[in-house]
Amino acid sequence: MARLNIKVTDAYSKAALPYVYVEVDGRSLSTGLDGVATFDLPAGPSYTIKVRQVAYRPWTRTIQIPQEGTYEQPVELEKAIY
Amino acid sequence: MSNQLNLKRQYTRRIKMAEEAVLLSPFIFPPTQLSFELANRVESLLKNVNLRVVRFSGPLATKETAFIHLPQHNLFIYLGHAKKDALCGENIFSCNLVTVADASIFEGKIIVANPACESARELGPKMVELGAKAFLGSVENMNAHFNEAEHNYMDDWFDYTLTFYRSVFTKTMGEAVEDWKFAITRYMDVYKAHLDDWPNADWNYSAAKMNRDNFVVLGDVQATVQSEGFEVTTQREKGFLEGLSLLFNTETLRRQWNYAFRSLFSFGAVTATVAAVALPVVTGYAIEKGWLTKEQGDIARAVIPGVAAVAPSV
Repeated sequence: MARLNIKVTDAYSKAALPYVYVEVDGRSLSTGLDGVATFDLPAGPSYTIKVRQVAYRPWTRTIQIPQEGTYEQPVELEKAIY
Repeated sequence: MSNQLNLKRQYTRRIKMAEEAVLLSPFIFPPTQLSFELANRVESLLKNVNLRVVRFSGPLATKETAFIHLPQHNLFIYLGHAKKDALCGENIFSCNLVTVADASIFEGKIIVANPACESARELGPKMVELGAKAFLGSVENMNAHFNEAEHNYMDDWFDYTLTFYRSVFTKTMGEAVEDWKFAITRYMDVYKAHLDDWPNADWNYSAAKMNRDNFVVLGDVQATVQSEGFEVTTQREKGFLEGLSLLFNTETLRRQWNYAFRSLFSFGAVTATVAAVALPVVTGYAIEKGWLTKEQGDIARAVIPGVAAVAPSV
């Protein structure tokens, strides 16, 4: 298994964003107070990550997890509201 | 000759009937860069329907500039950050471009805050209570849309917002809000149809829905920007005569004088000149008349440039 740490921050203030909805191929979690959501995934295939938070621009990317290990995925969310 | 006179009269009449708008668009804090671009297009729309517009952007979008120009305009348009009791302006931390305390000076005006968050919660009702003709804004957050890999949602946002502004300038305020909701619904249907193949369609659907469902008109829904009998003219119809009459009418000349006068003061040029010339002369005069002691005179010669030339020590 591989470990994927997704750290979500505000692109402007760089502050960690808690309670953000993070989805990796249908599996969903919320970020903790440190802005991190951790997924344990089988190595090998590619995964689509969706990060959603009201007031922030949606973030969607596809990443590769080629082998077991720990992966860090930083996500900077841009403000979308006035 | 009489044809020319008639033409001139016609243009003059149209210009006099044209209403005016003041348009404010901050652009520093994201995502106001997008609403700034939107404001560029709104400005073009205004000009196309023969509404003269005064535009203030970025650091110029201040309380002072807005309020100086407000009395001459019947339409106030704001695109930028806001909260329930204020339009922020460029500084989102102080957020005090227009607050509820300023509401009374909008008496008789139409105010449009789009996009701007929550302004129809407290600020809008207060303005209408104190005499504003109508206030158009949202009771919730308003979202921007972005250009994503699979689809340019930002273009859709520009399109549905400009549909709204086009209606604001040519229809009643109630109709403008209806047109806004109708235009957004069309795009929501598109996003719904692409939920499976556009990765960001879900968020954009929700964002558009939030923009649509929380936007309201307060005050007179029948209010219009244009005066009765107003004729919409296109840019092509406007010609040399209009240009001349705009350049040389008293209102334009008065404003140009005001701009020039204010800019002098704003850069401190007048104050600096007065200080640089008058201070040494007055001090030198005081020394010669013996109003200052010898010690005071020496100090003045040492610290004030020019005093030594005007009143050299003996």
